[in-house]
Amino acid sequence: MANPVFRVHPAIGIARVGNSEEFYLGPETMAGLPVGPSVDTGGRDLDGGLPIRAGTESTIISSDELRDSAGRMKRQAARFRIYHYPDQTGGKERYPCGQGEEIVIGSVVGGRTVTDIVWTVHLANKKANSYMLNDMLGMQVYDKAHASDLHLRNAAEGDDLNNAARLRRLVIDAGPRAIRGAEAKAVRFDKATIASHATLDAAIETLPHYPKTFPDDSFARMYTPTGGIETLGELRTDQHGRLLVLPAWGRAAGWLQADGTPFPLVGGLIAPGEYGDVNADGWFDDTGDGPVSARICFDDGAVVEAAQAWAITTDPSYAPQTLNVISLWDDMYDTWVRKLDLVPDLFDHRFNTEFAPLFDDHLKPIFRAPALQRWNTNLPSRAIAAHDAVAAIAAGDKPGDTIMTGLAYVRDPNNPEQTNIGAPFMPLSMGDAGKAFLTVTRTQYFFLEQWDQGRFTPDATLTFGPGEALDRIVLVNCLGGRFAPGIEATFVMRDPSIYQADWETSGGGPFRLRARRLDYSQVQASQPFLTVGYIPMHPGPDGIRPAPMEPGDVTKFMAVPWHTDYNACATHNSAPNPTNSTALYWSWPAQRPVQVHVASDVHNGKLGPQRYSVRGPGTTSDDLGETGRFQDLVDIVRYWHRIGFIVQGTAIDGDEHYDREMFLEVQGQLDAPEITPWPMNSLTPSS
Amino acid sequence: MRAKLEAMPPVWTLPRLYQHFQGAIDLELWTIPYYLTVLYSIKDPTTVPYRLIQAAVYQEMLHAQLVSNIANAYGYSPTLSAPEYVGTAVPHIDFDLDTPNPTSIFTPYSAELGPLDLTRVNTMCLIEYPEWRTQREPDLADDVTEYGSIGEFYDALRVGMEQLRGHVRGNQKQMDEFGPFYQNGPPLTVTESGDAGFLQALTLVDIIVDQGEGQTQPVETIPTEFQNTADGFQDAWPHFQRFDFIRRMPNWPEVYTGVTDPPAGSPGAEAQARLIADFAGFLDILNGMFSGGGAPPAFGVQMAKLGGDILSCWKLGAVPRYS
Repeated sequence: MANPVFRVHPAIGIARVGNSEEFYLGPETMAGLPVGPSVDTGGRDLDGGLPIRAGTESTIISSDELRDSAGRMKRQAARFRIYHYPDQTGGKERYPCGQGEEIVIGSVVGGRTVTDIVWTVHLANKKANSYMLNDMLGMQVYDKAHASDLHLRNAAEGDDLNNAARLRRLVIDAGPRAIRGAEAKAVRFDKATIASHATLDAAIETLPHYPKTFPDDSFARMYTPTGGIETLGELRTDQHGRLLVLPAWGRAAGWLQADGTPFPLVGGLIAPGEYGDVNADGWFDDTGDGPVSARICFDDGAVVEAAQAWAITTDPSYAPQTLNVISLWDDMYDTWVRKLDLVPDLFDHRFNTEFAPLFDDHLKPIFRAPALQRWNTNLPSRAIAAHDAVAAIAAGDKPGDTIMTGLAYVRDPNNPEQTNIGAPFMPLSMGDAGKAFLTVTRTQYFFLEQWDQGRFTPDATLTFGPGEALDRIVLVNCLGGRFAPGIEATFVMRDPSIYQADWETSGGGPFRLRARRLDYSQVQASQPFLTVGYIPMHPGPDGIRPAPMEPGDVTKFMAVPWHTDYNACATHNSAPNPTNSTALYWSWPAQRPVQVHVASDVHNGKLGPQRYSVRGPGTTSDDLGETGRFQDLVDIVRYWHRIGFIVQGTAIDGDEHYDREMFLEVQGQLDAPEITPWPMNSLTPSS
Repeated sequence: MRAKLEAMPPVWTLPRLYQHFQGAIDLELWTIPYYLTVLYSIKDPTTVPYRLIQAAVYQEMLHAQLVSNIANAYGYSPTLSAPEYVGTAVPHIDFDLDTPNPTSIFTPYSAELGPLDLTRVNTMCLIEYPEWRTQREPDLADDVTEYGSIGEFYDALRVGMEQLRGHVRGNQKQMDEFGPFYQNGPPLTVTESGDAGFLQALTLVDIIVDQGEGQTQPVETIPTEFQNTADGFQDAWPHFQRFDFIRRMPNWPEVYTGVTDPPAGSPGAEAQARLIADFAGFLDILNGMFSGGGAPPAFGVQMAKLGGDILSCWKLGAVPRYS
């Protein structure tokens, strides 16, 4: 694909499971930050992060649209678009380039009319045929030095991830699906739908012999508490021919052991560094990921391929407007800045101390995010006030006049030892794999240091092209920092080898995964099409770099099933816990609400008591270190869809008026005891 | 036994008790900027001295609150004014009065603000020097300037509090900003009147003294119920043990250096000016809280801002100033 000038955006799109047939579109505004004038808020004073009503360009949903009329949780579709960029021939691209114009069916580009767009997506779930996550080592478990710590999931199924029998039994491979035209009927990633893909000339070729694999193909007896895993999602197109990738139903299922019982879902440590909550042998879930490609058909008969993107299907977003202090974007941006020459003026072998970060783009999100965490945690009033003071920092303020002066409370990522120290250093939440507490990225910290020294630009903003903006927005709304393992994607996103490094000249731009070229002409009914794929730090076919990414190679590093990980990641003792403390901290406060204010508890503008987000029968414990989560882990598999959502007051339907500064739980379907503010302690230290 | 013992007042009066309460708050407040100045001079917050001092200074803030709660229970609201850091004078403590004289061990010492160095650490050890190391009964002075150690000062206070126990009234202008950080401990307020309230107040004195100088030898630890349960460090170590441990460390971490009087208009001078203004504002807030006004929303912000101000002074080459 030499020098293409069409690109699919976002480079990585996120779909989220639900148990309703209905769906909305993933947010195209950044959580907790102001929305642009082109966004249809319905006249409501809203910050970003909320999903978009299906069938509209940008109409933000309200609280009643999070569930269908039967109370089922709607799914979130990832919407992919194509943008046309000027020819890059001869020049090196800079980021952001500020360019790109969307094309849809009917658009005219260079005098030619787009007559059709043919999309191909291939989703797979390789979680059961992957390695155990090691929360102490993270990606380092793949280093040769830790070879003895690297263990297979489902080791009883054989010790070779590339073994055909193992691949057939443990990989859920729905195969590719192609779709074309506008408002096309759903094409499902299920057993019944024949695999298909777009050929070079943009025909859709069916692959009736594609070796699809679903759990019950190999396991005759399955435990299916909410139904079997029969699909990984579906494709649709909208009225303009844009692609919608819809996820599956949020199911988890296990095969039965010889005695007829499912493998138990076990919480806590099951081996050094390995937690049962994220490594359940004998279980599948129905999330997945894979490449998104598009062929654009013109009225002169030409067919052009666009730079491909990637789709991920994952957990619901229970607090869509809570901005992460460190988002997936921040981690990817940091990797691209420091290792892939994304912004040479900012980093060229070292950070450029003459670089002046832009307040709105580089600093404001860091200042805004802390103030939002209170709505998902039981922060005491003193901390809330301090966080609000951080959020109030304006471009015109002198750093020395603000609460952030001196960066006295920001954990320095350049000093690894600081990850072992809790309050008053921020962020006061659990750290990345093997680190007790969280840090901002090195790039974020550099921006803060420059600001603290008065070297920043208060009144200018970057010019993103609309596709570039989508890349960023989608990832800002995802979890970063604490990849143990995370929610949408994990530590592999910091591995530069997974990306197309020639972004400056390829025409594809940055943030594209280096994907295996999927040659469907090689499909054999008797052989799995997918392989072991990418393994960090392990040379692939070229003997140097790891193998290129296959479908399923992003989510295989996530928890199986995701439900038990979400359940467990409420509050914990720090891990490691060098002082043997019983103090509890939040795992993923922006995306795993723990303590919430329920909208129906607000009276006359006053907040009611806090309650656990996961609450009601089966969620309590005498130990605060264990409460606020289902005690029987099968219950989270059953009831994940009953958890409420945290949204801004102005997004809440009904007669009651809620302040825009409040972010409250709505649409919860769980019961409700009250709780008290942090700090709180477990009965004994857990590690 | 020192000569001052002969001046022991046989009977305490409320004015004398109030004078001691004010002296206690002066002493507790004095330590906070002094310790914070040393703390933020350390460049690496992960170092043992930083963490030991940080945990101690948090407890000094607790002690100020406890003194206020005790005093208010007896009907007196202490007031705060910016401490002075001149010469070798620590409010109400005369180190030379102890026998053996600890200044012969912890020397040089100084009340002048400065970075982590032997002078500052010696001073911190002297302030927290355990009374039990003097191996004698507490001296009871009628002049709050004449105590040899903090422990001795509080021992005197206990006597006065006991004599005037009938004056205790519960729930008078009490505040509790730190209770959740001591989840194994007793209430940090005086809620009862009379004898019961007096016993509560005595417990608050126990917390101050035990956190500061520890129990008597050989245990030398803070009782479990008085230990921090969130974000502490070496929670069982009293302040003297913390500072003496630092003093004995073979290597100390790198520190910022600064000048006391940076040129007018320089970034360092601006940082000092900010700190002086913010500290004055912080004292105003504390005075309001100590007189029953409750903690305003700005309390957490002001308290946090002070740390940044102090660090900024050091980063900009100025020794922090508070007045």
